[in-house]
Amino acid sequence: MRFIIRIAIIMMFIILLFSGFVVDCTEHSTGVSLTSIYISSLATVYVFPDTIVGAPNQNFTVEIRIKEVNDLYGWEFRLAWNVAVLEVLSVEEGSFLKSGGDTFFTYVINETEGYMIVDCTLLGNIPGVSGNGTLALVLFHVLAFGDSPLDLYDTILVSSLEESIPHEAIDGYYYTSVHDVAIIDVKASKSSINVTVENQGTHTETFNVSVYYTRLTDPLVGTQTVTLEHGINTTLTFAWSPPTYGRYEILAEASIVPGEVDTDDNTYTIIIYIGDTGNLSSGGASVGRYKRMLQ
Amino acid sequence: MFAHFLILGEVSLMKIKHVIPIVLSLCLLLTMPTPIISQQTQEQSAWVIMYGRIERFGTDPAYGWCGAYAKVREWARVCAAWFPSGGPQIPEICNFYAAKLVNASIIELDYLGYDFYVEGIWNVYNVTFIYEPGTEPGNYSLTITPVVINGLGTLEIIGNWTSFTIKIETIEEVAGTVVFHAVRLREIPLGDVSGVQVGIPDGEVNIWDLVHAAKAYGSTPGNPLLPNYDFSLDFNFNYEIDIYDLTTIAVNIGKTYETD
Repeated sequence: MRFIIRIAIIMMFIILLFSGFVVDCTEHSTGVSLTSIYISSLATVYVFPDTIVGAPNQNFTVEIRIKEVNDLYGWEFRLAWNVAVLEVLSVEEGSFLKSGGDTFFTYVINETEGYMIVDCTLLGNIPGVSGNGTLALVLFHVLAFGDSPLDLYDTILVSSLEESIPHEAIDGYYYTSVHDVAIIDVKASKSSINVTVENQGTHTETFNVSVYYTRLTDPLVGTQTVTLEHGINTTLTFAWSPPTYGRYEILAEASIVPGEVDTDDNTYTIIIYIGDTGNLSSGGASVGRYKRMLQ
Repeated sequence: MFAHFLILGEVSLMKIKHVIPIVLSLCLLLTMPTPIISQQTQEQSAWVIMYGRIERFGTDPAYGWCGAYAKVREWARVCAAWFPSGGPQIPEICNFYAAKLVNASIIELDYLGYDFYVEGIWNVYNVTFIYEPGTEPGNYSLTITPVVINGLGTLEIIGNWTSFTIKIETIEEVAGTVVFHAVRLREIPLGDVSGVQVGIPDGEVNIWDLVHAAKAYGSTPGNPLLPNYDFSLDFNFNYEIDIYDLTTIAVNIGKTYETD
């Protein structure tokens, strides 16, 4: 009995093995790839890159790409974004469809609601284009802090036979990422210097704040390390004793945090006058404030 | 105020049992909209689109197309093209009549027993394309001969939007069957000529329409090398599917209207 079962199992394996060869032979004789027999690949329309990190006043370009499409004659997509964060500067046709011939490209942008409808078609009675490529390029301008979906929806792919091409659409995403700390105020007295620092970025930062005066070749008053969540400011107090009367330039400096671009406001300078009695001048002749570029 | 005064007056003259039905009737009358005014308002703002198949020219069978696009009582565009004797007979020669409404004087819905009625001045031309075999698609000669210039004529649609007749003075009647129509209070965008089902409007102007017109790009009536010409895609009725027609669709992309 066991022998019969073994024979049966062996026969099944042999049948399965040969059936595989039959498929293999068929694919070679017809020129059809194994992939197309077993897996029906689905075209994909997607935003590239899928995640964009930026900062206010920056521009960035996203591509609407397509992959694994067959016989594409015309396409349409809608793309939506957050109008409080982004605005569209331009839309251009990509290179994919025009590789198959002359094209007609058109788009409508609704800046108020934050969406665009983009269409493109080949012209004439010609076959469609297959493969991977870029359908369109969209240039965005970052208006403000925040995030925005790059919502690709109502996508339509049409073949040269005016038939719908099944596909999936994949969205993109934009968010603001800024490292930016600043000294927003410095006040000095005969015994202390108050430095107000602010985190103007989108991340919690840990950095050093140092205070100098110029009378004795920038002697360091002191350094404190501060950790600030984004949007928060704090005032640090540095104790000091002016060595003598006269004009002093007080320089407060926040160290540059990794990834910080806006470093202009990392330093803050004021000039004060310490009288010979050790008091601040009340004449106001030499009290001033200015920012200094950090070299 | 006037109605209120009238009611008080009648109360003084009639018994109370007679007053109640009168009061109720008056209240009902005051709250009901006037049917005639309502209908006029609808007609004034209605948009109309119609495509038809021409089947007869006089008493002879004919083959052709008719399209009407209008805003009732404001403006109308009506075009028609038909091949006598049932269609092109010689592959290299395409001869047809083309009629175009030049200036409309009456554009009405439900008018004198017609579902839709357009009256105005028409031009009719006899158009002949002669193609040279074996040459480029654009190599043809075109002859346009005026048949009627500034002739008075009408488009009449009857039978609950099933059939139409074009009557233009000095030529025989052109008649056919309505294949698509829509009457809406909101704008009906131009350009909805196709959908998922090829050649059937789907209530939205989108890539289906653009592709449908693009497939016929450059074609002309009867062109043996570019056979996709379709009068319904030739929005400017210049006998060629060109960039103007694609642009007409493009400017309306995203617009929708309710279909039946």
